[in-house]
Amino acid sequence: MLWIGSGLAALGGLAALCLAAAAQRTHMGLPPLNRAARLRWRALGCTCLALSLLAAWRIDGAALGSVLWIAQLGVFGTLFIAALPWAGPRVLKPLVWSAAVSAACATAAAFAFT
Amino acid sequence: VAVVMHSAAPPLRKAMDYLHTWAGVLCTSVLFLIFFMGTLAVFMHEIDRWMMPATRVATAPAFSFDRHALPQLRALAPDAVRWYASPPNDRQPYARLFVESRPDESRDVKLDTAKNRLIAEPGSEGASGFFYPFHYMLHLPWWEVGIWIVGIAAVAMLVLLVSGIVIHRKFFADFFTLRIGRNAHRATLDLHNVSSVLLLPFHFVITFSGLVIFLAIYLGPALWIAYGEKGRDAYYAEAYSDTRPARSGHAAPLVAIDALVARAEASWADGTRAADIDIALPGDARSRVSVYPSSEHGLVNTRPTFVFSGSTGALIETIVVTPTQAVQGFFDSVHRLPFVHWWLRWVYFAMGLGACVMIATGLLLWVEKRRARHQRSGQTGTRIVAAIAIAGSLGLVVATLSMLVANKLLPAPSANAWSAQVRAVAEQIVFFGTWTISLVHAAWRSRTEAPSRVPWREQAWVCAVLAVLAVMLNGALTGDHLFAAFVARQWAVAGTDGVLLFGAALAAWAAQRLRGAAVRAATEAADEPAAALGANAPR
Repeated sequence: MLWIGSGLAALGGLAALCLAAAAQRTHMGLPPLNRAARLRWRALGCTCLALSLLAAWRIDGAALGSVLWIAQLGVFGTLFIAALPWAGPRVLKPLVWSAAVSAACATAAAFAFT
Repeated sequence: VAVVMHSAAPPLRKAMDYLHTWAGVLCTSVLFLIFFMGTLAVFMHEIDRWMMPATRVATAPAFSFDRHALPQLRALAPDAVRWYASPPNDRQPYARLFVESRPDESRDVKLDTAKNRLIAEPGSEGASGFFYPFHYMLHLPWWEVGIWIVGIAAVAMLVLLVSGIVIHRKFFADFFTLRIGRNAHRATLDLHNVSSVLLLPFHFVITFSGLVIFLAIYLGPALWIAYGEKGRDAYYAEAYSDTRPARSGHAAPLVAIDALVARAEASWADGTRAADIDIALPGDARSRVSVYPSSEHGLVNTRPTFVFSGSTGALIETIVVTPTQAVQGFFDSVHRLPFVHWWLRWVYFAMGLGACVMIATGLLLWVEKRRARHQRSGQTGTRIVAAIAIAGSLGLVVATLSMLVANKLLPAPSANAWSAQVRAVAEQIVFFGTWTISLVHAAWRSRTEAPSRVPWREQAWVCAVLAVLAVMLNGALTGDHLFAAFVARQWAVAGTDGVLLFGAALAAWAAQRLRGAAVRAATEAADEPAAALGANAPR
């Protein structure tokens, strides 16, 4: 369960940071964000990534957990970016929220039961 | 003068661009080979199961050295100077036995512990005997020249990574950018950047840790200075307590080895099992039994190795891991993943493929950027590099798949060891032969007047066909087709089949896309003169 939580949180974090990136919004034809909205997306992205790292540490300890986190972040990030040209902006926002919510639930549940 | 000197010096980014380009062109094919073989080596024991059907055995509930290994070792070499046994583990269902009859004569066999009998020689080196050594020594063992070439390539990789970061102008702005569209050059550049930037920690760590593993070889001259003529042997003896006892000349029976293993496992006290049992001078009064701990529980293995007297069972020495060894062990674990962590193993496999994509797209960018210019001036440099690029990337995949197909088609070896060796060599001849054919094909089809994507497309189709053929042959000839392997929980076989089928689909998709791109390029090329004619036509 923590693996799912860690993976989904990493994916959601990347998607949120992607939505906050001005260049990427231009590529996807999305309107530019104001400063406050951009900061909100960035805060959400960073929170998800931090949550993902915490879950990875919880699974495998600080040493192996860090290796696992960096590795899965790289792979999920690459797969996410490779899928983006086909998926488009329509799925981006739902992906962020579903990933963030399920990651938070999974991680919280895992912390509670392990 | 200072102003003139400042303006004459190339800007850092330009200098790094030059370094990145030429270091890349010179080392890319070797780097692709190292990374591709390393990616296969992540699952080498599983590929071994696929390539050696005789090793798809059940494991005995508990391994006993005295009951399983000792009778076989005595039968193989009763007067050996060394016996060595590795019990079965989560990735290897059989025990490995090693006997050293004399210092220069050794034999390695596999033991089916469930049936307590030796497994017949499979007639194949498998992934652990062929792909893995290819990864770190390029099958060039003489004077360790292969390890040195790999080391130089690793340093070049670090240079490429640093220079790549410097020349990447919009490192963060383009972080999520992948523009797949009509412009193939831009898509290739974006793919190169994405696979480089997102997997940058992996590229750095895997390259650096690879250098750390062979530190004793790369620092050979320093060891020679520090330890004199004895050099590396003296270093190993001091660093790892790797000393060999001298024979006493008095025979003495071995004590029960299982009891010594149990004592060592009890001392580790955290459920760690013995990974290797090494008996020096068995049957001699000075025999020594070393029990090594398994590394399957984490990145850093600081558990000690216990050395017992083989004749009395007394504890002679406890070899403690020093902090320096622990640091090297950490990098070794990060690189080789000796522990059981399937999710991380799959992630490493994916990252290895990502590194291959990064290297191949880098070379492709170089070739495509210069192709038109060289075509106009009649130069052949691009053609040579293009042929090497194709053979060094897709050609290597074709050669690997053809080896897997040959592994199924070559007749099974007879009972004698010579027949098994001939079969294993035949597999390797198929590998290198196919690789050579791939190079010839790439050179022939990369002629400047032909569309640049033709050889890539054709070899991608060959990859798809060979991968499907390998899966079909495995199913037909061993009976363990994908569904049967899945039901029988033969995960190694099912996983290899699954990856091969996924790879076949990916190769077919890439070939289709390359065909579409080639058709578009041809149409645009045909339209260009007509458009130019239209623009210049008198009104």
